[in-house]
Amino acid sequence: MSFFEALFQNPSVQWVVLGTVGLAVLGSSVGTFNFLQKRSLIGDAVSHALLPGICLAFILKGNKDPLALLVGAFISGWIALLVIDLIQSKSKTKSDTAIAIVLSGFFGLGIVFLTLIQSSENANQAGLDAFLFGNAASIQKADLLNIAMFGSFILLSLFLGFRAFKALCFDKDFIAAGGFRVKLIQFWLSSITVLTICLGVQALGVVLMAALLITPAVAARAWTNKLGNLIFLSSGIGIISGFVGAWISYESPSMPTGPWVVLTASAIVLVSLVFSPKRGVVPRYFRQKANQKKIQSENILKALFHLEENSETASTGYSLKDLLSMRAFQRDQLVGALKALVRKNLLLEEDGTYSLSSLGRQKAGKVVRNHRLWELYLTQYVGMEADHVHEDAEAMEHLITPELEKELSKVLNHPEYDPHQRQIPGKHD
Amino acid sequence: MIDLEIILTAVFIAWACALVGSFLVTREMAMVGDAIAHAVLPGIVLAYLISGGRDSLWMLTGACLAGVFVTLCIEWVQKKARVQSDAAIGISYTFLFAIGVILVSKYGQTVDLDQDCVLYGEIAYVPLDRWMLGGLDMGPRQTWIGLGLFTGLSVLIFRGFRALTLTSFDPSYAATLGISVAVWHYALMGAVSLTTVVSFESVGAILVVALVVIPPATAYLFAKTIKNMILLALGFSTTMVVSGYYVSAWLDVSISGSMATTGLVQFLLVMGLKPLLIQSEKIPSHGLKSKG
Repeated sequence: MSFFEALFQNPSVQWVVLGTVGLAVLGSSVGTFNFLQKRSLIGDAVSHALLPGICLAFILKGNKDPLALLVGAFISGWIALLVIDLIQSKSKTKSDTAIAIVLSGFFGLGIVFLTLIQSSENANQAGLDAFLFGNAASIQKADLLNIAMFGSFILLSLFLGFRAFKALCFDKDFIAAGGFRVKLIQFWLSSITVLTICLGVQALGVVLMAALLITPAVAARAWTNKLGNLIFLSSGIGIISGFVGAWISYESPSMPTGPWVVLTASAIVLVSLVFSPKRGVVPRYFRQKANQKKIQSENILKALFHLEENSETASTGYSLKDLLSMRAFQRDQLVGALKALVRKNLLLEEDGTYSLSSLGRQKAGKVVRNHRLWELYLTQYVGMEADHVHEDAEAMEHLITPELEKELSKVLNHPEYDPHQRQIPGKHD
Repeated sequence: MIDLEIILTAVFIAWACALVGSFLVTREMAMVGDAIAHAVLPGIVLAYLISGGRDSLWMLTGACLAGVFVTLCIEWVQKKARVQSDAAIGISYTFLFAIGVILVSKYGQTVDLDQDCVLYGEIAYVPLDRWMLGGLDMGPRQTWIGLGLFTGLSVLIFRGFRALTLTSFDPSYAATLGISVAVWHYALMGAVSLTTVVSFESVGAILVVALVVIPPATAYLFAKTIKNMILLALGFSTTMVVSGYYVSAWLDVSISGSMATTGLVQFLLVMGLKPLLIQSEKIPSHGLKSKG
């Protein structure tokens, strides 16, 4: 039976798929808020710290009642959170150290309990240690019911408390000013985070549940700046990862679901970080290259403009050597850039000498105008000395937009000369 | 005798962990240690598959490469993709760990590596693996490996002490002195990976984190200089390991789990008792200084 046939016919496959996808949605939406609070690794610590609670609940109850384990896990996770906060507030221990201490210490305690259970040879214990690596195939109807019940509670409180949580991530003072209690909202967010991890840990395992809180949020962040979109996108990535994970583990039964969910999410995060138009590494690289090219050609035009300005007699053109005397261009880069400028009709070439075309002169004049306006602005409004302003203007000349240029000109009362008594070109604008 | 062999092994490994851990904690990289401990899993499995057996040298190489690889991943995500550091750590090591789990389940039958051994370690079986030298029983192999690791790291830290402290506390000053910050960073990361891997077999992934982080963190509560911190950390790791061992023998539970627990308890006790211990100190404690 193919996966999609099974999806419509076999209830146990439906449970696994629904459970995994549901957990992925919960993890990625709740995780987004933790990510924005820079508390991602706390989720990691909490998921490790559930183990002692789960084992203790099992010892007390004597069987694997999902609800009892959930309660045990929840309490244990909360204690871990409190201990992390306690360590940070009572000592100079840094947050990452506090997290690592609680993570390893609580997990060690969990293992102690686990071996206690194992040595008592309770027949029911089989499967408790699936908790560590997760076993999505074990999702039963009862688990699914828990996920659906608590999950809708979590999503509902995210929906209703959206504004409060948003303020918690971005502007705590705003909450305080609005008469809300920062601590209460933080408590609420922490509680639903712990609850989410508790729900997911048995199916996906400790480490992989932690991943589900972090990875989709990071991937989504590469594409959007809006919180609402971020949560939807992150949940979407969660859904895709959960679905693909369940699919792969159905096709190849020896494959565990959790790691494939994480691997899918990791692949999405990699693509996002590399290729997203706004924040991706590759688009940013090309933007930087294009920008460098723009700056370089503007510098060449400017150098020619200065050469023309300085020469007494009208010259027909300037050689490479003249240009190199104006500015420390790299020779071979310069040659390439000059050719490109000639192609764009900004420069005229004649026997290895170059001069500005009228279009080029206009463009160079704009750059020089920006430079000199900015120098004047710095001396008049920022109070800098005339001999200190050149460096700054050298960078700003490439950044000043036409609107800004108009504004500067207006503020400076349409000046004619810069602080060095050189004429500012293009006054007629 | 068996007790002594196990304790001695654990103490040597704990000392080695405390040495590298002290620098990790002062560099605020405790969670990077956790990341490395998880990320060596795929390295070990791959080395196992390539070499076809539990050849220690292959395992060491594979795991060290994986450990350094995860630090490179974290750096790339943080610096190039500009993701905040906690999330960078989170996505990098869970990715490698997922690959590790997939490899273990795929080749679980052919690879003699089960998930339990990875997590809990098998320190109780340390005395079974003897080092025979010309027919002479020299004691458990792991004990000697632990001692060797500790000695090697001591030499590295002793020789590179100035460079390590300077690059930890004042990277820009170190750079002006011509000390390569990057070289020492990767030397430390390599040392952490090596320690993790060597300790892995006997104490498991989670206890490695506990040994690397908890004793130095306990020492950090008191220490004013890095030298002091390392010495205190060695002391705290000894008490943590020895008390952990006896608790586990008493309750008949996992040795490594019990050691991690006593470490946590010891940290919380020391933190709680510190105000009572140091009453004369009027000035609130401040960060470490690079020189005593």
